[in-house]
Amino acid sequence: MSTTPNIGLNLAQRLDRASGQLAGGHVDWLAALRRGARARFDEIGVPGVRDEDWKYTNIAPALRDLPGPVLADEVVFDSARVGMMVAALPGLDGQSPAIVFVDGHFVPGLSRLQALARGVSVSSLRELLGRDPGRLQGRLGKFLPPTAHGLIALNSAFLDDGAVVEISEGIVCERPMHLVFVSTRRNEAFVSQPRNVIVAGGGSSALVVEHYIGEEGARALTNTVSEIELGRGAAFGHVRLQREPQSAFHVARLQVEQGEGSSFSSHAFGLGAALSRTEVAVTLSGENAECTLHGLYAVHGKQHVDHHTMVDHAAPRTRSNQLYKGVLDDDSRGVFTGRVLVRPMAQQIKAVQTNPVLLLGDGAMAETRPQLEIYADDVACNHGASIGRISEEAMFYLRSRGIEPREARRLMVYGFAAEVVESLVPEALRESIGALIGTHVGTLRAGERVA
Amino acid sequence: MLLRIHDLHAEIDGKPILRGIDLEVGAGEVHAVMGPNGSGKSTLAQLLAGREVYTVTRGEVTFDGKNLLEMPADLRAREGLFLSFQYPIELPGIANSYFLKAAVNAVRRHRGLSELDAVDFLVAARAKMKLVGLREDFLHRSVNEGFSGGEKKRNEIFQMAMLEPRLAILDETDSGLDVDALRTVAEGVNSLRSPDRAIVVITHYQRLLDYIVPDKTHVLAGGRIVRSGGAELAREVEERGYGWITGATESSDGMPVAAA
Ligand SMILES: Nc1ncnc2c1ncn2[C@@H]1O[C@H](COP(=O)(O)OP(=O)(O)OP(=O)(O)O)[C@@H](O)[C@H]1O
Ligand SMILES: [Mg+2]
Repeated sequence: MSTTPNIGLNLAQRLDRASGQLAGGHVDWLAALRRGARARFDEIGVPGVRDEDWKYTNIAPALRDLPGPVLADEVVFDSARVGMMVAALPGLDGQSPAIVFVDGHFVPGLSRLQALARGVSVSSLRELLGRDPGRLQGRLGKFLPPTAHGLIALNSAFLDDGAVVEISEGIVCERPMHLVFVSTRRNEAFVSQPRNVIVAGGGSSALVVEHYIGEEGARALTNTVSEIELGRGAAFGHVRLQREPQSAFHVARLQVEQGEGSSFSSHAFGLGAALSRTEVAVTLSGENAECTLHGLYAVHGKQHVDHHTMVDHAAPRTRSNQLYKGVLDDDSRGVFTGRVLVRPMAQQIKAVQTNPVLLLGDGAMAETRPQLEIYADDVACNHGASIGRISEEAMFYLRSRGIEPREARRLMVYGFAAEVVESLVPEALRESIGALIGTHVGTLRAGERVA
Repeated sequence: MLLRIHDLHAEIDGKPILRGIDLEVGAGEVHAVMGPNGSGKSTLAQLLAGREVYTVTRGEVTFDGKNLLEMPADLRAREGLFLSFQYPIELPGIANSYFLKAAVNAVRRHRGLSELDAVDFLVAARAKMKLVGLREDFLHRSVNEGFSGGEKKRNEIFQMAMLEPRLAILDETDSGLDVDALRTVAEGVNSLRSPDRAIVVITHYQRLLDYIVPDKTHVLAGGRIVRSGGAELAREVEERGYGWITGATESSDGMPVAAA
């Protein structure tokens, strides 16, 4: 792995100013975990473009000259305003549980944790580490590969707050649980590193939605890690709505470990941020486990969006299905890398991966990189990618019905994206996210240009 | 005259396709346009509807006295021109209901009418779907996606019925329809007939014209109207083919080529 040591060193030093205030500072195993991660970060630094996995995404400029985190006693925000932003989130219907973080810190007053179903707990990581740290011992970082890149190590080295979601065996949650991360500070750039831990017990069924939003102009670098462990036969859905302001940078890792017969569904929406990198890594450890990874990125201007998936078929009869769709306007860049690993002992595997991209802008560029590493022989593996533009014929059809070019184009882009939205359940969430996507694609500037 | 085409020439990629079309369609009239494959019928229809891939090199077209050629396609539709496509386009991911409601309301706004809300739209849509023999679940499917050939054609007529155009151009709407569907479509078209509307039916067959009796029939060949006549011309074409007309400059009843 190539390194950019200076940037990394400066960054770590600036983060050090928070060290004395980190959650659970008195807990030995946690201190050891942080020290190990810090040593790892000092060794490998920030990923650079010479690193094969980061070839198309240059994160270094986002990290240069970044001040540290916002400390707990420095958090200042307009509570009414953030409350309104939270209330407007798709799928948050006034009944659903929500845990809210502002500039990296848990805000109980904006959270709604009394609405939880029986057998479910949602807490702040920081609070839990203060109250009952033993609950997380051996869990934090359990499934993160030791070779993961430097920003994951950085998250672990300074882990402090985030959401902990625990779902007991056999519990079925009807309502989605919302984890909300809001960046508000505008006068100064800052780093926020939420760390989420989700444990879904055997036979349970639940859905978690992670929202990343912020005030336009907030110069945040969000570097977040979510770990999910699915027990035997658990069914779990995860939705990430990355809608950070254009002034922000976003790096995210979702690490999923799947037990026997479990099923996992992910929807990663990459709409915001100047530059974003979103990773979903799934290990299918138990037989008959299956995952469906969906993604939709739709960006414009000079936005750069990078989605990276890694599916490890570590057990026989496991299945994965990936559909990532991209819409790139103006001079934006979209990168999709999909790695599928089938281990030697894993037979009767099915793995599908597709990445259709719609180019709207003349300066837009798409990169697709399927990476298949197959060491077993009974494997049905498929991948496809395509890059297209809006069909003139289809535009004509819409316009021939009286629909104005701008709306016609919006409908075409929505129609392209709809496949990702349509696989969302429950219906209420599908509808509100569908409406959000419908509005979002209407803001893409290609709508201004006449064919 | 609702539609007046004068000496229309058009080409694509430098290749001439229409070579001097003259045609006038008055309100209340039904015209049939026939002609061999590749003669330019669909080109004419699409050009009138505003398809931008064709370049007009000569001639004028007015619609209700306005210069049609300088209007963009969507404005032509809002002004009351409708084209039923020979090959309707599939629009994956766009619900038929959403698409049609957007279209209906765009047209209504243009006419100074209030927009239909979801309920009013549904009530109107149900009635019209019944008329063209489409089940209601087609409203919730993506536009034309996975529709059979006949279902696509019915969907075109359904759209026409909802949009209530002043001039409807039906490009081979009868092709690929079974006998019952043909009758249903014809009924849909006839229900639209009125003294202030006009219909241009492009077809290869007399069958549809048994139901929708044209006031005038035109034969297009090589990018020109080579013969015009009454309803009987369509029957003659059905019986004798086009060979006897091609190259002719006058119609069987002695009418000049450009029917007035
Ligand atoms: N987009 C295009 N590009 C190239 N050539 C075209 C295009 N559209 C039409 N043409 C050509 O123009 C001519 C007329 O085509 P058109 O579709 O208008 O015929 P038509 O009379 O409708 O035939 P049919 O009865 O088969 O439907 C044909 O030679 C066709 O190949
Ligand atoms: Mg044709």
